[in-house]
Amino acid sequence: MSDSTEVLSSTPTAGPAGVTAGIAANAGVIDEAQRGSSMRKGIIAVVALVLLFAVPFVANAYLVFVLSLTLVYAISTVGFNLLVGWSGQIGLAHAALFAIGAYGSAVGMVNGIPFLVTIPLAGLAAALLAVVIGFPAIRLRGFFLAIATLALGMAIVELLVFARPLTGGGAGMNVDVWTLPGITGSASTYFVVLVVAALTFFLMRRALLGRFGRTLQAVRDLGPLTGSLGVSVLRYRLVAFGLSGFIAAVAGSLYAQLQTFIFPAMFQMNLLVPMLVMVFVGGAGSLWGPLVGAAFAVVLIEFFQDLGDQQAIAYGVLLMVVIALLPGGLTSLFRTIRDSRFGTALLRRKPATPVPGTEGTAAAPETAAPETAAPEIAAKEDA
Amino acid sequence: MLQTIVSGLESGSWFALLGLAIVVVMKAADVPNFAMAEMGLVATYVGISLAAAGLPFWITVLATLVVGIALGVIIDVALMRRLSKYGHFPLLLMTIGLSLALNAVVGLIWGHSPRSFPAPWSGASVGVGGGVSIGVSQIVSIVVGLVGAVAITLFFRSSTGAQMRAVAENRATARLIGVNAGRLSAIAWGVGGLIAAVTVMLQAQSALVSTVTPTSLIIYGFVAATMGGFTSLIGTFVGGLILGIIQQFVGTYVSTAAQFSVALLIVFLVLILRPDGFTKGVRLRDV
Repeated sequence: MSDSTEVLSSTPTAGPAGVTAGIAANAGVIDEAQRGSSMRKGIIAVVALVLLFAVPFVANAYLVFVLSLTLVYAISTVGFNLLVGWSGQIGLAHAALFAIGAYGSAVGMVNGIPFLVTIPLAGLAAALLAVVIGFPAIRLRGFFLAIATLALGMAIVELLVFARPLTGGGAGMNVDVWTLPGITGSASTYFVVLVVAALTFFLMRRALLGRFGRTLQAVRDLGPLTGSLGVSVLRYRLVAFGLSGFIAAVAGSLYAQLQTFIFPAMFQMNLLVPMLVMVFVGGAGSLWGPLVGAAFAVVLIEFFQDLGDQQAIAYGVLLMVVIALLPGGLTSLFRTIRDSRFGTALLRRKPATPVPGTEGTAAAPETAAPETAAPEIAAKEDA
Repeated sequence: MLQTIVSGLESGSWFALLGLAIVVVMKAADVPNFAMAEMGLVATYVGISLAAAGLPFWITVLATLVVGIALGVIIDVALMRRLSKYGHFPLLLMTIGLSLALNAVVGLIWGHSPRSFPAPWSGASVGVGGGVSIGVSQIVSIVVGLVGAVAITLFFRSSTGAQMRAVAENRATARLIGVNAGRLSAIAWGVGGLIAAVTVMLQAQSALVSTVTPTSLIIYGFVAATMGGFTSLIGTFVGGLILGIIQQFVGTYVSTAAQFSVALLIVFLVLILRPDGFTKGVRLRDV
């Protein structure tokens, strides 16, 4: 299957048709995000952040850990979603780039680099690597790209096993936990994670709602045709790879802090599949989907703790169910309900206003009661 | 040296067969099936359980093959067919999810310790002079691999095979000219499951298999399929054999730990240098 024939033979929505089918459900994301008063949204965001910052002082260590894990996965999923959802490229090396972040940060700290400095350094290294991995994207489309990137990702994890002097090989290595003076290590990690997550979501929202996001979508949907508009397809594809790699590694470096012990087997298919679940449960090509997807996946992890096989079955089945029934993810389910006649009736007081911040509560699919409950709560908040 | 080549041909036969199974499904249903090795593993484990229950060897072989076929058909009818209108990517993700789930199901039912499929000839070997002896199970693997490749090639020469390629090319058009696309994709998945069952069974009668086997086996199968450009049966078969030999030589003369990386390197190089496989020009997919 060569590039030229695919372009010639297919409709304007070149690229993988399936991604487009799933993303079609999230097509209104940009317009919708610009509805409503930005002032009020800003206030809600600040209040939410302040509340989140207070968590370690009131909640127990377990809750802090779960929240940190959710945010780390959410950061990583923002990067994966950028690549898979917004730029429509099926790069499957995300777990390996996540590993580069974890190992980069841990090895950097062993060599005397301060933790906070290792985060951007690991990110840059992974971004470079991601661009190299993305180079097959010049020639390969669809699942050929998926196979090439999957192979490269696996090779990276294999290399981590080989680099025994640096990484401890297959046996793994300990991670020095970075601690702020006066509070516990887990609380310090939580604060760093929270700041990074807020920054990531804020910057990514700005980028995706602006010219960058629109151009990425154009490149995804039109392919080489955007060349006639003066947009370099190649450059945007590689930038998407690099950026997603950077974010993956940043999340990975925080993940290492959370786990305090890392080994290569953590970053194989058993991580990649949950990552895919997070993207697609949240909704490929959506803005808040990563947060919803990550929360969903972490809840699943906590439910099936220490039961390796059952957890794997749950992830595998969940991925299949979501792909089959919910191509737009949970955020699209929420939108569908709200835009339906029933939802509009419930939201009649302010029909055109989106409900920021409540999307995370709409995480109950298919059951009737929560479906009606979520918009009701939303309506009350709006009023 | 001879020993290494024979071992390479043996494992190469497994890779080639699994690659062929991937290509068969690819041709009819247009999806790279990441769950192929797991399907074979499930079938083989059923066979091993039956053998442990005291059934005669050939009955268990037959049962394994039937389970493989049934598994393929069920997966196609229950999961894949309703997604085919969305294109490649949901199908691909579906097989990834399926491989994880099937592997874990096997782990739950049969556990994670390695098992073997004892055949009447297991352990026997033939001396070929110079102090070198070759296991009968190795010969069985190589011969069955060769026979399987010929059978699949003949299958695609038949009218069913031609219809299959038409469906993969364009499902809607093939339907318009009277091809029963649903039946064909079920046949392809059944054949794929059958070959996968044969592959894992061959591996189990010569070596041990466990829940970690499919992970590497599927990658090697994909390397073989990539060498054939996901279309050429001959390219896939020869690619699998070459891969097996390279892999054995790396294992013998470099390090067994490097085997996997070398295979991954090969897939990457092939995709970069010859994305359409080594037999490009012999038969094109986008005709």
